[in-house]
Amino acid sequence: MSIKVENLSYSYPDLAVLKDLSFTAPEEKMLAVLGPNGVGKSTLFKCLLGLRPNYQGKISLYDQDIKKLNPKELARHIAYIPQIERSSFHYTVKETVLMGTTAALGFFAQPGLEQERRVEEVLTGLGLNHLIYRDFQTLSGGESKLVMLARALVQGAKILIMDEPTAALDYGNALRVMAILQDLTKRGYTLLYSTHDPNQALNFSDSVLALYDGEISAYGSTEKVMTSELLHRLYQVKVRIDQLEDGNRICIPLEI
Amino acid sequence: MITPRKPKLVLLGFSLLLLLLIFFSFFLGRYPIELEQVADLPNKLIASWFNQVNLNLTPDETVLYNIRFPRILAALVVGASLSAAGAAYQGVFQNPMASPDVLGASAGAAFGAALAILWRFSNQGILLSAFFFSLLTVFLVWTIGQRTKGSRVLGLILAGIMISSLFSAGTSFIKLVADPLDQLPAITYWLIGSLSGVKRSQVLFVLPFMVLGAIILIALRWRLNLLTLGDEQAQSLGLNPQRLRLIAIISSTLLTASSIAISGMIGWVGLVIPHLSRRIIGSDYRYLMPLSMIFGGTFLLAVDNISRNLLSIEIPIGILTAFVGAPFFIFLITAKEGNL
Repeated sequence: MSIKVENLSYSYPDLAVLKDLSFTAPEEKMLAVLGPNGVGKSTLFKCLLGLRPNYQGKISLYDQDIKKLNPKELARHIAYIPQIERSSFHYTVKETVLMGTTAALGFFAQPGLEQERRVEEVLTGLGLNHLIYRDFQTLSGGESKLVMLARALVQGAKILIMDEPTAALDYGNALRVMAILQDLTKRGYTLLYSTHDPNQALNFSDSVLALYDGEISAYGSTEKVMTSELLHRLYQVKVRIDQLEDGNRICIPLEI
Repeated sequence: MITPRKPKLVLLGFSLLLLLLIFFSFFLGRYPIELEQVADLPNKLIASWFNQVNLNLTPDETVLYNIRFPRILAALVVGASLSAAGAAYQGVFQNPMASPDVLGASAGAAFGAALAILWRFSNQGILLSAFFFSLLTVFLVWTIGQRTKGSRVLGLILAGIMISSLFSAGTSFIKLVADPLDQLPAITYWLIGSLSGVKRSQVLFVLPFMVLGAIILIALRWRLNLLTLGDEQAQSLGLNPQRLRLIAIISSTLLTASSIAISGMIGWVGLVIPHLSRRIIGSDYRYLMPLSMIFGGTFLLAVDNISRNLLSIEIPIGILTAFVGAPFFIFLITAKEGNL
């Protein structure tokens, strides 16, 4: 199992966020994490990434307890594709993606020709090679998301964690990013992402983890778990989930 | 603002400029020196180093070797050190407005030197005292910053402001009780910042510390890039951000304290030069760190040449760097690009 979470709880000083979560993420699949704002999706991801070390319970990646891994070892298993933030520091796309190679370098080493070739390879694979000398800060939302994905791929980890991969993307870019992610699962990657769009989970995810009030409200294959009852429980809105002729399912709001 | 296609060519160009400036600086000054008069100096120096022969210098050679050489060397290493420290602090704090003054390193060093002058320490004593208090301030700021609630970076900067003002008050008190005939002018002049009267022994005393700090920052310069992304991204990319930040801060403080110990308070270099360097060669520390060092040395040497030659009395270099630095700062915070 790529990710195994046992009895995970996490509290901020005055607030319990995650309460006793247990689940396993199957390899080479897409797992969507659903839940209302502030339910702890980001906190869960940060625990998995080793960024919130003082949790209770146990998290294992490929049967290794992450508490026993240092950041460098952890980075070889699991990579993070963050939300895009503005920065005062301007790096080219090439430099940005090169940063993904750091975990594989010695402490005093710098990326060299070998790493640059790898970066070019990954950028070409994602159709981004024409952006290689552009300022990362000037890219469009879709482009910068894909560059962050390129950085994660260069890192060499097989588990990818994404906080709302399609936030602030236009409809076309959102679909293109999701299609690329789905394609990655066929190449051996395991993906965990959070989303607020039930249709995205219906269209692209193999399984769904629904969080409500810090607990697991439902977990399982998308087909079984994604029901109008679940969405009502999570978001307090009435929806209908219809099956189309081709077998796809779609979520339609009933009343606003 | 981003890395040009051939950053190494830019570095080479700046290095050549620096070498030219160093050469001409030897011949600038009130005492005129003819090139032919000193052509033999390198041979004499080599002979005295290897064969233990006494140096027998002509007046021209004495000026060149005992007065201008230490001063040029001091301008170079102080400029390079302050800029390198500023560049590193900016990455560590993810704030392109950070500088050696942020961590209170300057205020601490000033207090240490003033105290040493008050207690009539020797020159080496002043150096060590400035050095000790500079490190002490940074340690205090670091410890307090770690205990603040909320943003660590902001906490650190606020702690720096508080501790700096505490040590500045201490310096003011020392000035109050200092002997107004000899100690007070010495302290005041030192606080202004000047390279006049720098001795070779002083430069050689701090040089190893500077070299150590510079080597560490150069060796870690790729990783400084990741710190500018913030701790969470840096760590998820396989770094221990707290450890790297600590190493970078200690190295930068070593550079700042050593500089202030021989030159007094020379402000603005650590802010302005890394910033200009970033505009020329981009944010990638692989090129930014070396350029900041080269450019910093060039800048301070050029300004020091002006300070020695502009008026019949020497203008302390700290005043000149402030005249250049303050308007530049205003330009930065009001500039339309708003890239801060």
